[in-house]
Amino acid sequence: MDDFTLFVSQRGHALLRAAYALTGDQHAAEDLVQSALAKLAGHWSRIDGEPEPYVRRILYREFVSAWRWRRRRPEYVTDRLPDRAARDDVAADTVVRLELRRALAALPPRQRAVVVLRYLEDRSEQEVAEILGCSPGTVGSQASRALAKLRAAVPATEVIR
Amino acid sequence: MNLETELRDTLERLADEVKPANLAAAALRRAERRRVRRVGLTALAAVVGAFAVVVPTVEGLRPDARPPVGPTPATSVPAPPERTPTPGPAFFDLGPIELPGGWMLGAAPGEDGGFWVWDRTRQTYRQVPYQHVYPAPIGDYAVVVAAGGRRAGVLDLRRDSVRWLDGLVPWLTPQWTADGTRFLTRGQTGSTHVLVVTARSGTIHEVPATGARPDPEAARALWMPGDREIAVAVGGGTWELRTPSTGARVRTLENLPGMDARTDFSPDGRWVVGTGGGRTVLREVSTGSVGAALPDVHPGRAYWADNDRLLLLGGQNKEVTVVDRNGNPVGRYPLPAVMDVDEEHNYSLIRM
Repeated sequence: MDDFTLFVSQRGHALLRAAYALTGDQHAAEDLVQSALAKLAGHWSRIDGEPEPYVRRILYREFVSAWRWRRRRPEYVTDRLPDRAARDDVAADTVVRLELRRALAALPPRQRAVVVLRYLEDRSEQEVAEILGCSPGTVGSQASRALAKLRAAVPATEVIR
Repeated sequence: MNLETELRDTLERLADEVKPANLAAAALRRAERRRVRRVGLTALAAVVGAFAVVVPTVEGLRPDARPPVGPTPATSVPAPPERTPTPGPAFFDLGPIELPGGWMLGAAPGEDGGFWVWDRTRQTYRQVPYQHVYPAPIGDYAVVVAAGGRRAGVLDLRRDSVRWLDGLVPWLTPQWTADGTRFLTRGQTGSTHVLVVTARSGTIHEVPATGARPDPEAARALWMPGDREIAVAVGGGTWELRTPSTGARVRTLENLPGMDARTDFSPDGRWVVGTGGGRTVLREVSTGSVGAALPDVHPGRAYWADNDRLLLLGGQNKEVTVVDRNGNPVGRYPLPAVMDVDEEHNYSLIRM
Protein backbone atom coordinates (compact mmCIF):
# COMPACT_ATOMS: atom_id res chain seq x y z
CA MET A 1 0.00 0.00 0.00
CA ASP A 2 1.57 3.37 -0.93
CA ASP A 3 1.92 6.20 1.56
CA PHE A 4 -1.02 8.20 0.25
CA THR A 5 -3.42 5.27 0.36
CA LEU A 6 -2.19 4.37 3.82
CA PHE A 7 -2.80 7.92 5.01
CA VAL A 8 -6.33 7.91 3.61
CA SER A 9 -7.12 4.55 5.16
CA GLN A 10 -6.00 5.85 8.56
CA ARG A 11 -7.42 9.38 8.53
CA GLY A 12 -10.03 9.41 5.80
CA HIS A 13 -12.97 8.63 8.03
CA ALA A 14 -12.08 11.40 10.47
CA LEU A 15 -12.07 13.82 7.55
CA LEU A 16 -15.37 12.40 6.36
CA ARG A 17 -16.96 12.95 9.80
CA ALA A 18 -15.91 16.58 9.72
CA ALA A 19 -17.17 16.98 6.17
CA TYR A 20 -20.51 15.47 7.13
CA ALA A 21 -20.81 17.83 10.08
CA LEU A 22 -20.19 20.66 7.63
CA THR A 23 -22.49 19.57 4.84
CA GLY A 24 -25.09 17.35 6.48
CA ASP A 25 -25.18 15.14 3.42
CA GLN A 26 -23.35 11.87 2.70
CA HIS A 27 -22.79 12.56 -0.98
CA ALA A 28 -21.70 16.15 -0.43
CA ALA A 29 -19.36 15.07 2.38
CA GLU A 30 -17.73 12.41 0.20
CA ASP A 31 -17.43 14.88 -2.66
CA LEU A 32 -15.80 17.45 -0.41
CA VAL A 33 -13.31 14.99 1.06
CA GLN A 34 -12.46 13.44 -2.31
CA SER A 35 -11.84 16.88 -3.77
CA ALA A 36 -9.50 17.76 -0.91
CA LEU A 37 -7.73 14.40 -1.11
CA ALA A 38 -7.34 14.76 -4.88
CA LYS A 39 -5.52 18.04 -4.34
CA LEU A 40 -3.44 16.40 -1.64
CA ALA A 41 -2.55 13.56 -4.00
CA GLY A 42 -1.39 16.03 -6.63
CA HIS A 43 0.85 17.71 -4.10
CA TRP A 44 1.87 14.61 -2.13
CA SER A 45 5.56 14.60 -2.97
CA ARG A 46 5.93 18.30 -2.08
CA ILE A 47 4.21 18.28 1.30
CA ASP A 48 6.48 19.68 3.97
CA GLY A 49 5.58 17.93 7.21
CA GLU A 50 2.39 16.11 8.15
CA PRO A 51 -0.22 15.82 5.40
CA GLU A 52 -3.26 15.99 7.64
CA PRO A 53 -3.04 19.70 8.47
CA TYR A 54 -2.57 20.37 4.78
CA VAL A 55 -5.63 18.42 3.66
CA ARG A 56 -7.71 19.72 6.53
CA ARG A 57 -6.98 23.28 5.41
CA ILE A 58 -8.00 22.43 1.86
CA LEU A 59 -11.19 20.75 3.04
CA TYR A 60 -12.37 23.59 5.23
CA ARG A 61 -11.40 26.32 2.81
CA GLU A 62 -13.15 24.54 -0.04
CA PHE A 63 -16.24 24.21 2.08
CA VAL A 64 -16.23 27.91 2.95
CA SER A 65 -15.68 29.06 -0.60
CA ALA A 66 -17.30 26.56 -2.94
CA TRP A 67 -20.77 27.79 -3.83
CA ARG A 68 -21.82 24.38 -4.95
CA TRP A 69 -21.94 23.18 -1.35
CA ARG A 70 -24.32 25.94 -0.49
CA ARG A 71 -26.55 25.44 -3.48
CA ARG A 72 -27.25 21.85 -2.75
CA ARG A 73 -27.05 22.05 1.02
CA PRO A 74 -29.83 19.80 2.25
CA GLU A 75 -31.89 20.02 5.37
CA TYR A 76 -30.16 18.39 8.27
CA VAL A 77 -33.43 17.31 9.85
CA THR A 78 -36.99 16.49 9.04
CA ASP A 79 -39.97 18.18 10.62
CA ARG A 80 -41.11 15.01 12.30
CA LEU A 81 -40.30 14.41 15.91
CA PRO A 82 -39.37 10.89 17.00
CA ASP A 83 -42.05 8.60 18.35
CA ARG A 84 -40.82 8.98 21.93
CA ALA A 85 -41.78 12.64 22.00
CA ALA A 86 -44.76 11.78 24.16
CA ARG A 87 -42.53 11.93 27.28
CA ASP A 88 -41.84 15.59 28.07
CA ASP A 89 -38.28 15.23 29.40
CA VAL A 90 -37.07 13.18 26.43
CA ALA A 91 -39.00 15.38 24.02
CA ALA A 92 -37.33 18.50 25.39
CA ASP A 93 -33.82 17.16 24.75
CA THR A 94 -34.77 15.88 21.34
CA VAL A 95 -36.44 19.11 20.35
CA VAL A 96 -33.36 21.05 21.41
CA ARG A 97 -31.09 18.86 19.31
CA LEU A 98 -33.38 19.04 16.32
CA GLU A 99 -33.63 22.81 16.60
CA LEU A 100 -29.90 23.04 17.07
CA ARG A 101 -29.26 20.99 13.94
CA ARG A 102 -31.69 23.14 12.01
CA ALA A 103 -29.95 26.27 13.26
CA LEU A 104 -26.53 24.85 12.40
CA ALA A 105 -27.66 24.17 8.86
CA ALA A 106 -28.76 27.79 8.56
CA LEU A 107 -25.38 29.23 9.56
CA PRO A 108 -23.27 30.83 6.83
CA PRO A 109 -20.45 28.52 5.69
CA ARG A 110 -17.64 30.31 7.50
CA GLN A 111 -19.50 30.38 10.80
CA ARG A 112 -20.41 26.73 10.42
CA ALA A 113 -16.78 25.87 9.70
CA VAL A 114 -15.67 27.75 12.81
CA VAL A 115 -18.29 25.97 14.94
CA VAL A 116 -17.30 22.53 13.65
CA LEU A 117 -13.61 23.24 14.19
CA ARG A 118 -14.16 24.65 17.67
CA TYR A 119 -16.81 22.32 19.03
CA LEU A 120 -16.41 19.08 17.11
CA GLU A 121 -12.67 19.10 16.57
CA ASP A 122 -11.82 21.11 19.74
CA ARG A 123 -9.38 23.38 17.93
CA SER A 124 -8.05 26.55 19.49
CA GLU A 125 -8.77 29.93 17.96
CA GLN A 126 -5.20 30.09 16.66
CA GLU A 127 -5.51 26.63 15.07
CA VAL A 128 -8.84 27.53 13.51
CA ALA A 129 -7.32 30.73 12.14
CA GLU A 130 -4.47 28.80 10.53
CA ILE A 131 -6.83 26.26 9.00
CA LEU A 132 -9.20 28.85 7.58
CA GLY A 133 -6.51 31.35 6.66
CA CYS A 134 -7.89 34.23 8.69
CA SER A 135 -7.01 35.99 11.90
CA PRO A 136 -7.82 34.71 15.39
CA GLY A 137 -9.87 37.85 15.84
CA THR A 138 -12.03 36.88 12.91
CA VAL A 139 -12.41 33.40 14.34
CA GLY A 140 -13.54 34.86 17.64
CA SER A 141 -16.06 37.17 16.06
CA GLN A 142 -17.42 34.46 13.77
CA ALA A 143 -17.79 32.10 16.73
CA SER A 144 -19.58 34.74 18.75
CA ARG A 145 -22.01 35.48 15.95
CA ALA A 146 -22.65 31.81 15.38
CA LEU A 147 -23.36 31.15 19.04
CA ALA A 148 -25.64 34.17 19.17
CA LYS A 149 -27.65 32.80 16.25
CA LEU A 150 -27.79 29.34 17.77
CA ARG A 151 -28.85 30.75 21.13
CA ALA A 152 -31.59 32.78 19.46
CA ALA A 153 -32.80 29.70 17.60
CA VAL A 154 -32.70 27.49 20.70
CA PRO A 155 -33.68 29.69 23.62
CA ALA A 156 -33.82 26.73 26.00
CA THR A 157 -30.03 26.80 26.10
CA GLU A 158 -27.71 29.44 27.46
CA VAL A 159 -24.02 30.07 27.01
CA ILE A 160 -22.12 29.70 30.24
CA ARG A 161 -18.83 31.58 30.01
CA MET B 1 -29.16 23.56 29.59
CA ASN B 2 -25.75 24.70 28.37
CA LEU B 3 -25.51 25.66 24.71
CA GLU B 4 -21.89 24.72 24.21
CA THR B 5 -22.41 21.30 25.78
CA GLU B 6 -25.47 20.67 23.66
CA LEU B 7 -23.63 21.91 20.60
CA ARG B 8 -20.73 19.50 21.11
CA ASP B 9 -23.15 16.64 21.67
CA THR B 10 -25.20 17.54 18.60
CA LEU B 11 -22.14 17.79 16.39
CA GLU B 12 -20.81 14.45 17.62
CA ARG B 13 -24.11 12.73 16.93
CA LEU B 14 -24.30 14.38 13.53
CA ALA B 15 -20.78 13.36 12.56
CA ASP B 16 -21.42 9.79 13.73
CA GLU B 17 -24.18 9.45 11.16
CA VAL B 18 -21.78 9.43 8.22
CA LYS B 19 -21.28 6.11 6.50
CA PRO B 20 -17.76 4.88 5.65
CA ALA B 21 -16.65 5.41 2.06
CA ASN B 22 -13.84 4.26 -0.18
CA LEU B 23 -12.05 7.58 -0.43
CA ALA B 24 -8.54 6.79 -1.65
CA ALA B 25 -9.44 5.22 -4.98
CA ALA B 26 -11.96 7.94 -5.81
CA ALA B 27 -9.50 10.68 -4.85
CA LEU B 28 -6.76 9.20 -7.00
CA ARG B 29 -9.10 8.95 -9.97
CA ARG B 30 -10.11 12.56 -9.47
CA ALA B 31 -6.48 13.64 -9.17
CA GLU B 32 -5.67 11.89 -12.44
CA ARG B 33 -8.60 13.58 -14.18
CA ARG B 34 -7.37 16.97 -12.95
CA ARG B 35 -3.88 16.21 -14.21
CA VAL B 36 -5.13 15.19 -17.65
CA ARG B 37 -7.36 18.25 -17.83
CA ARG B 38 -4.43 20.54 -16.91
CA VAL B 39 -2.25 19.05 -19.62
CA GLY B 40 -5.05 19.48 -22.13
CA LEU B 41 -5.72 23.09 -21.16
CA THR B 42 -2.05 23.97 -21.38
CA ALA B 43 -1.83 22.49 -24.84
CA LEU B 44 -5.03 24.23 -25.94
CA ALA B 45 -3.86 27.54 -24.53
CA ALA B 46 -0.60 27.29 -26.45
CA VAL B 47 -2.61 27.03 -29.65
CA VAL B 48 -5.20 29.70 -28.92
CA GLY B 49 -2.84 32.24 -27.43
CA ALA B 50 -3.54 35.12 -25.02
CA PHE B 51 -6.82 37.00 -25.18
CA ALA B 52 -8.94 39.38 -23.20
CA VAL B 53 -12.61 39.91 -23.83
CA VAL B 54 -14.61 42.94 -22.81
CA VAL B 55 -18.29 42.21 -22.28
CA PRO B 56 -20.19 45.44 -21.79
CA THR B 57 -23.43 45.25 -19.82
CA VAL B 58 -25.70 46.47 -22.56
CA GLU B 59 -29.36 46.49 -21.64
CA GLY B 60 -30.96 43.37 -22.98
CA LEU B 61 -27.67 41.49 -23.04
CA ARG B 62 -27.85 38.50 -20.73
CA PRO B 63 -25.34 38.88 -17.87
CA ASP B 64 -23.78 35.51 -18.61
CA ALA B 65 -23.68 35.95 -22.36
CA ARG B 66 -20.15 36.00 -23.71
CA PRO B 67 -18.76 36.27 -27.19
CA PRO B 68 -17.40 33.01 -28.56
CA VAL B 69 -13.86 32.20 -27.55
CA GLY B 70 -11.45 33.34 -30.17
CA PRO B 71 -8.41 35.45 -30.85
CA THR B 72 -10.36 38.56 -31.96
CA PRO B 73 -11.93 40.36 -29.00
CA ALA B 74 -13.53 43.80 -28.91
CA THR B 75 -10.12 45.40 -28.24
CA SER B 76 -6.94 44.51 -30.05
CA VAL B 77 -4.63 42.12 -28.24
CA PRO B 78 -0.88 42.12 -28.72
CA ALA B 79 0.79 38.88 -29.72
CA PRO B 80 2.51 37.02 -26.88
CA PRO B 81 6.15 38.01 -26.54
CA GLU B 82 8.97 35.70 -27.52
CA ARG B 83 10.05 33.80 -24.42
CA THR B 84 13.02 31.71 -23.55
CA PRO B 85 12.26 28.26 -22.13
CA THR B 86 11.07 28.44 -18.55
CA PRO B 87 12.81 26.53 -15.80
CA GLY B 88 9.68 24.64 -14.74
CA PRO B 89 6.09 23.96 -15.69
CA ALA B 90 4.14 27.06 -16.74
CA PHE B 91 0.80 28.00 -15.23
CA PHE B 92 -0.50 28.42 -18.69
CA ASP B 93 1.09 29.61 -21.86
CA LEU B 94 -1.11 32.64 -22.35
CA GLY B 95 1.30 35.45 -21.58
CA PRO B 96 0.40 38.20 -19.14
CA ILE B 97 -3.27 38.49 -18.23
CA GLU B 98 -3.74 42.20 -18.85
CA LEU B 99 -6.44 44.34 -17.29
CA PRO B 100 -7.43 48.00 -17.66
CA GLY B 101 -5.42 50.76 -16.06
CA GLY B 102 -2.06 49.06 -16.55
CA TRP B 103 -2.85 46.20 -14.17
CA MET B 104 -2.27 42.51 -14.77
CA LEU B 105 -2.75 39.27 -12.88
CA GLY B 106 0.28 38.99 -10.61
CA ALA B 107 -0.25 35.81 -8.63
CA ALA B 108 -2.96 33.23 -8.22
CA PRO B 109 -3.51 29.76 -6.80
CA GLY B 110 -3.90 26.97 -9.30
CA GLU B 111 -6.41 24.18 -9.19
CA ASP B 112 -3.55 21.75 -8.62
CA GLY B 113 -2.93 23.31 -5.21
CA GLY B 114 0.20 25.19 -6.28
CA PHE B 115 0.67 28.96 -6.43
CA TRP B 116 1.58 30.75 -9.63
CA VAL B 117 3.31 34.11 -9.88
CA TRP B 118 4.30 36.33 -12.81
CA ASP B 119 8.06 36.30 -13.29
CA ARG B 120 9.11 39.54 -14.97
CA THR B 121 12.57 38.23 -15.84
CA ARG B 122 11.30 35.09 -17.52
CA GLN B 123 8.09 36.76 -18.77
CA THR B 124 5.90 33.87 -17.77
CA TYR B 125 3.80 32.61 -14.89
CA ARG B 126 5.66 30.01 -12.89
CA GLN B 127 4.75 27.80 -10.00
CA VAL B 128 6.26 28.36 -6.57
CA PRO B 129 5.98 26.05 -3.55
CA TYR B 130 4.27 28.41 -1.15
CA GLN B 131 0.87 28.61 0.46
CA HIS B 132 0.36 32.27 -0.38
CA VAL B 133 2.19 34.72 -2.61
CA TYR B 134 1.81 38.51 -2.45
CA PRO B 135 3.86 40.05 -5.25
CA ALA B 136 5.01 43.65 -5.10
CA PRO B 137 3.17 45.89 -7.59
CA ILE B 138 6.42 46.45 -9.48
CA GLY B 139 9.81 44.78 -9.28
CA ASP B 140 10.85 41.24 -8.49
CA TYR B 141 9.90 40.75 -4.85
CA ALA B 142 7.00 38.91 -3.31
CA VAL B 143 6.00 38.11 0.24
CA VAL B 144 5.48 34.38 0.54
CA VAL B 145 3.95 32.19 3.21
CA ALA B 146 5.39 28.71 3.61
CA ALA B 147 3.26 25.62 3.16
CA GLY B 148 1.90 25.02 6.62
CA GLY B 149 1.32 28.72 7.13
CA ARG B 150 3.76 29.12 10.00
CA ARG B 151 6.33 31.47 8.53
CA ALA B 152 6.62 34.24 5.99
CA GLY B 153 9.49 35.69 4.01
CA VAL B 154 10.53 37.63 0.93
CA LEU B 155 11.02 35.88 -2.39
CA ASP B 156 13.39 37.39 -4.94
CA LEU B 157 11.95 36.15 -8.20
CA ARG B 158 14.94 37.24 -10.24
CA ARG B 159 17.41 35.26 -8.12
CA ASP B 160 14.86 32.60 -7.14
CA SER B 161 15.86 32.89 -3.49
CA VAL B 162 13.78 33.41 -0.37
CA ARG B 163 14.68 35.10 2.90
CA TRP B 164 12.54 33.85 5.78
CA LEU B 165 11.77 36.48 8.42
CA ASP B 166 10.95 35.89 12.06
CA GLY B 167 8.28 37.87 13.81
CA LEU B 168 5.88 38.31 10.91
CA VAL B 169 2.28 37.26 11.26
CA PRO B 170 1.84 34.88 8.30
CA TRP B 171 -1.90 35.33 7.91
CA LEU B 172 -1.86 39.10 7.48
CA THR B 173 -1.90 40.40 3.92
CA PRO B 174 1.20 42.58 3.54
CA GLN B 175 0.80 46.11 2.26
CA TRP B 176 3.36 46.95 -0.41
CA THR B 177 4.55 50.43 -1.29
CA ALA B 178 3.84 51.50 -4.85
CA ASP B 179 7.53 51.15 -5.76
CA GLY B 180 7.69 47.59 -4.45
CA THR B 181 10.61 48.22 -2.11
CA ARG B 182 8.92 47.98 1.30
CA PHE B 183 5.89 46.40 2.82
CA LEU B 184 3.84 46.89 5.94
CA THR B 185 2.66 44.23 8.31
CA ARG B 186 2.00 43.74 11.99
CA GLY B 187 3.88 41.95 14.69
CA GLN B 188 2.56 39.13 16.80
CA THR B 189 -0.77 39.42 18.52
CA GLY B 190 -0.59 41.78 21.47
CA SER B 191 1.92 44.13 19.88
CA THR B 192 0.94 47.65 18.92
CA HIS B 193 3.94 47.99 16.62
CA VAL B 194 3.62 48.26 12.90
CA LEU B 195 6.44 46.62 10.98
CA VAL B 196 7.99 48.19 7.90
CA VAL B 197 10.08 45.61 6.05
CA THR B 198 12.63 46.49 3.38
CA ALA B 199 12.38 43.79 0.76
CA ARG B 200 15.95 43.88 -0.49
CA SER B 201 17.67 43.55 2.88
CA GLY B 202 14.96 41.96 5.01
CA THR B 203 15.42 44.74 7.55
CA ILE B 204 12.43 45.09 9.85
CA HIS B 205 11.73 48.51 11.31
CA GLU B 206 9.25 48.67 14.16
CA VAL B 207 7.07 51.74 14.06
CA PRO B 208 5.51 52.55 17.40
CA ALA B 209 1.79 53.03 17.04
CA THR B 210 0.94 54.11 20.54
CA GLY B 211 -2.78 54.49 20.93
CA ALA B 212 -3.53 51.89 18.32
CA ARG B 213 -5.35 48.81 19.43
CA PRO B 214 -3.14 45.73 19.82
CA ASP B 215 -5.48 43.36 18.03
CA PRO B 216 -4.07 42.98 14.49
CA GLU B 217 -7.56 42.27 13.20
CA ALA B 218 -9.03 45.45 14.62
CA ALA B 219 -6.03 47.74 14.14
CA ARG B 220 -5.19 47.53 10.46
CA ALA B 221 -2.32 49.49 9.00
CA LEU B 222 -1.87 50.56 5.41
CA TRP B 223 0.18 52.95 3.33
CA MET B 224 -1.42 56.22 2.41
CA PRO B 225 -1.08 57.34 -1.24
CA GLY B 226 2.46 58.59 -1.73
CA ASP B 227 3.80 56.04 0.78
CA ARG B 228 4.99 58.78 3.14
CA GLU B 229 2.44 58.08 5.85
CA ILE B 230 1.08 54.97 7.47
CA ALA B 231 -2.58 54.91 8.40
CA VAL B 232 -3.25 52.96 11.59
CA ALA B 233 -6.84 52.15 12.53
CA VAL B 234 -7.87 53.10 16.05
CA GLY B 235 -11.49 52.05 15.72
CA GLY B 236 -14.76 53.55 14.64
CA GLY B 237 -13.49 54.51 11.19
CA THR B 238 -10.78 56.75 12.64
CA TRP B 239 -7.24 56.46 11.39
CA GLU B 240 -4.06 57.95 12.80
CA LEU B 241 -1.57 58.88 10.11
CA ARG B 242 2.00 58.39 11.27
CA THR B 243 5.45 58.76 9.79
CA PRO B 244 7.08 55.40 9.02
CA SER B 245 10.43 56.45 10.46
CA THR B 246 9.42 57.53 13.96
CA GLY B 247 5.75 56.69 14.26
CA ALA B 248 5.01 60.31 15.06
CA ARG B 249 1.38 61.14 14.56
CA VAL B 250 0.85 63.56 11.72
CA ARG B 251 -2.91 63.86 11.41
CA THR B 252 -6.15 61.99 11.78
CA LEU B 253 -8.74 60.83 9.29
CA GLU B 254 -12.23 60.16 10.50
CA ASN B 255 -15.36 58.50 9.27
CA LEU B 256 -13.57 56.07 6.96
CA PRO B 257 -14.46 52.60 8.18
CA GLY B 258 -13.41 49.51 6.28
CA MET B 259 -10.36 50.78 4.36
CA ASP B 260 -8.04 47.88 3.79
CA ALA B 261 -5.23 48.76 1.36
CA ARG B 262 -3.54 51.64 -0.42
CA THR B 263 -5.10 50.41 -3.64
CA ASP B 264 -8.48 51.35 -2.17
CA PHE B 265 -7.65 55.02 -2.89
CA SER B 266 -8.47 56.59 -6.26
CA PRO B 267 -5.44 57.94 -8.16
CA ASP B 268 -6.45 61.52 -7.35
CA GLY B 269 -6.85 60.62 -3.68
CA ARG B 270 -10.40 61.88 -3.55
CA TRP B 271 -12.25 58.57 -3.08
CA VAL B 272 -11.55 55.43 -1.10
CA VAL B 273 -13.20 52.03 -0.93
CA GLY B 274 -14.62 51.35 2.52
CA THR B 275 -17.72 50.10 4.21
CA GLY B 276 -21.03 51.55 5.27
CA GLY B 277 -24.40 50.11 6.19
CA GLY B 278 -23.04 46.59 5.87
CA ARG B 279 -21.98 47.16 2.27
CA THR B 280 -18.81 48.06 0.45
CA VAL B 281 -19.08 51.68 -0.62
CA LEU B 282 -17.04 54.56 -1.95
CA ARG B 283 -16.34 57.30 0.57
CA GLU B 284 -15.06 60.78 0.01
CA VAL B 285 -11.73 60.93 1.81
CA SER B 286 -12.00 64.52 3.01
CA THR B 287 -15.46 64.20 4.56
CA GLY B 288 -16.18 60.48 4.88
CA SER B 289 -19.47 60.99 3.09
CA VAL B 290 -20.76 57.90 1.33
CA GLY B 291 -20.86 57.64 -2.44
CA ALA B 292 -21.97 54.68 -4.52
CA ALA B 293 -22.22 51.13 -3.26
CA LEU B 294 -19.94 48.63 -4.97
CA PRO B 295 -21.20 45.19 -5.90
CA ASP B 296 -19.84 42.02 -4.39
CA VAL B 297 -16.36 43.07 -3.29
CA HIS B 298 -14.43 43.50 -0.07
CA PRO B 299 -12.22 46.54 0.52
CA GLY B 300 -8.69 45.60 -0.40
CA ARG B 301 -10.02 43.72 -3.40
CA ALA B 302 -10.61 46.79 -5.55
CA TYR B 303 -8.02 48.35 -7.83
CA TRP B 304 -8.56 51.68 -9.52
CA ALA B 305 -8.05 51.62 -13.29
CA ASP B 306 -8.35 55.41 -13.34
CA ASN B 307 -10.29 58.05 -11.41
CA ASP B 308 -13.57 56.83 -12.91
CA ARG B 309 -13.30 53.04 -12.99
CA LEU B 310 -12.47 50.28 -10.55
CA LEU B 311 -11.49 46.66 -11.06
CA LEU B 312 -13.28 44.41 -8.59
CA LEU B 313 -11.77 41.07 -7.67
CA GLY B 314 -14.43 38.82 -6.27
CA GLY B 315 -17.73 37.20 -6.95
CA GLN B 316 -18.40 33.62 -7.81
CA ASN B 317 -17.17 33.67 -11.39
CA LYS B 318 -13.61 33.60 -12.56
CA GLU B 319 -13.60 37.15 -13.77
CA VAL B 320 -12.64 40.69 -12.90
CA THR B 321 -15.50 43.16 -13.05
CA VAL B 322 -14.96 46.76 -14.09
CA VAL B 323 -17.36 49.27 -12.55
CA ASP B 324 -17.72 53.02 -12.79
CA ARG B 325 -17.86 55.33 -9.78
CA ASN B 326 -21.59 54.82 -9.59
CA GLY B 327 -21.03 51.12 -9.07
CA ASN B 328 -22.38 50.18 -12.49
CA PRO B 329 -20.63 47.29 -14.25
CA VAL B 330 -19.03 48.46 -17.48
CA GLY B 331 -16.90 45.43 -18.38
CA ARG B 332 -15.82 41.93 -17.43
CA TYR B 333 -12.51 40.19 -17.96
CA PRO B 334 -12.36 36.39 -17.69
CA LEU B 335 -9.62 34.84 -15.60
CA PRO B 336 -7.80 31.63 -16.54
CA ALA B 337 -9.79 28.46 -16.20
CA VAL B 338 -6.95 26.75 -14.37
CA MET B 339 -7.05 29.29 -11.58
CA ASP B 340 -8.46 28.19 -8.26
CA VAL B 341 -10.86 30.92 -7.25
CA ASP B 342 -12.12 30.68 -3.73
CA GLU B 343 -13.90 32.98 -1.33
CA GLU B 344 -10.61 34.33 -0.07
CA HIS B 345 -9.86 35.54 -3.58
CA ASN B 346 -6.21 35.26 -2.79
CA TYR B 347 -5.02 36.33 -6.17
CA SER B 348 -3.53 39.75 -6.72
CA LEU B 349 -2.72 42.29 -9.37
CA ILE B 350 0.56 43.95 -10.23
CA ARG B 351 1.58 46.71 -12.60
CA MET B 352 2.36 45.89 -16.20
